[in-house]
Amino acid sequence: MIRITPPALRVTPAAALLPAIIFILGAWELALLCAVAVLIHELGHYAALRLCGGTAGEIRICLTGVAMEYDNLSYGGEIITAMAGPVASLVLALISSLFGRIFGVDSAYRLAGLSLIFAVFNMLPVFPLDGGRAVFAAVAYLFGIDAAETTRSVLTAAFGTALIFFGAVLLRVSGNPTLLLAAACLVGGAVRARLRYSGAAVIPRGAPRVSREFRADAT
Amino acid sequence: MDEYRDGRYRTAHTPRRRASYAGARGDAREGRRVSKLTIAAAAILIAVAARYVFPNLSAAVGDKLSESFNYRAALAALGEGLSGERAFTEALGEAWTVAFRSTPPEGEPPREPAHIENTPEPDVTPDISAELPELPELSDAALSAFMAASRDYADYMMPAGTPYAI
Repeated sequence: MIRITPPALRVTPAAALLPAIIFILGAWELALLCAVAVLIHELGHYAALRLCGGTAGEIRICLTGVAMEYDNLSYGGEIITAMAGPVASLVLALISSLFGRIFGVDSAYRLAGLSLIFAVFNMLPVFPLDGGRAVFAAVAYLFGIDAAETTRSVLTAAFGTALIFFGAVLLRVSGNPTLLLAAACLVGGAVRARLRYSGAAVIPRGAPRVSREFRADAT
Repeated sequence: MDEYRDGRYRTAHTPRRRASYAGARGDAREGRRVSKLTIAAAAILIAVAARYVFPNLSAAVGDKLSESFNYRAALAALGEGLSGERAFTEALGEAWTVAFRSTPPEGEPPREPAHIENTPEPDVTPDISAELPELPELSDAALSAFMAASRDYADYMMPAGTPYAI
């Protein structure tokens, strides 16, 4: 039997801007759909985390999404737990789309589309997204920590640059800043995660300098 | 390297995030957090005030964003593609077009006005060259009766306060 202990919840000051942004834009429906999609995504992470024997730490709600700290996971458990979030989002997308088709509810279609975007975006092999974590754990298991660090840095830099470039192109062509904003938040999150463990007094040789948290980026 | 494959070993030998709130560094961190919260609270109040004081401005911002990105239609198209109501590739294409279109679809007027050359304004003066309709000829008796009635009622005036409602 798995004992469920709710982890601590913390809301960052930047996240307090979300109600202001939603209020200005009047995008209440989008905010509600995002909340449902993020909740299911994180529940997928949490369920897999507990099944793999890990422990959940603090859940942090920030401006661009939700991050859940974890501990006590093997590499295999980390891959499973990382992929559980996008899988949960895909399942939600399929169920919502069928619900919308059967009952003719447009909001269900929009929830399905949003969950699909969540799943695909979080599976990108970019740190700190779920796909990046899974790639990191897989490379670390097969080739060691140093190779995983190098792979993480290269993939994050390459995909981050490509997303920013295409986001800028789309902004110029269509006036839509969504992809550029998502790319900027992604690169900012990667830099922040990289700096989170900088300055430690003693770092064992080969120890991963990464934050141990799963994210659901609502971008 | 092999020992890092064990989750418990990694947990014990991974540097922890600097989460200490004790001492001078902890006070500075807490002060920054309070200042961030204060700024966020002020931003919320300003947003609420702006929404009610300048409703047209906030509506214009929302219209501008929805003009460039109709997220409702894009998300709904993806959902319909997932449900099988339509082909997924078709739904994906429609979502992309709605979200990132640069040219409007067929049938819609272009966003920018067409180039207008220096053409003279059309002549709106009525054409009075057309022939007037022929009036029926009046007999002498009818004309005499009309003239007599005109003399009899020359000093007739409408009473004051007569309504002219039709």
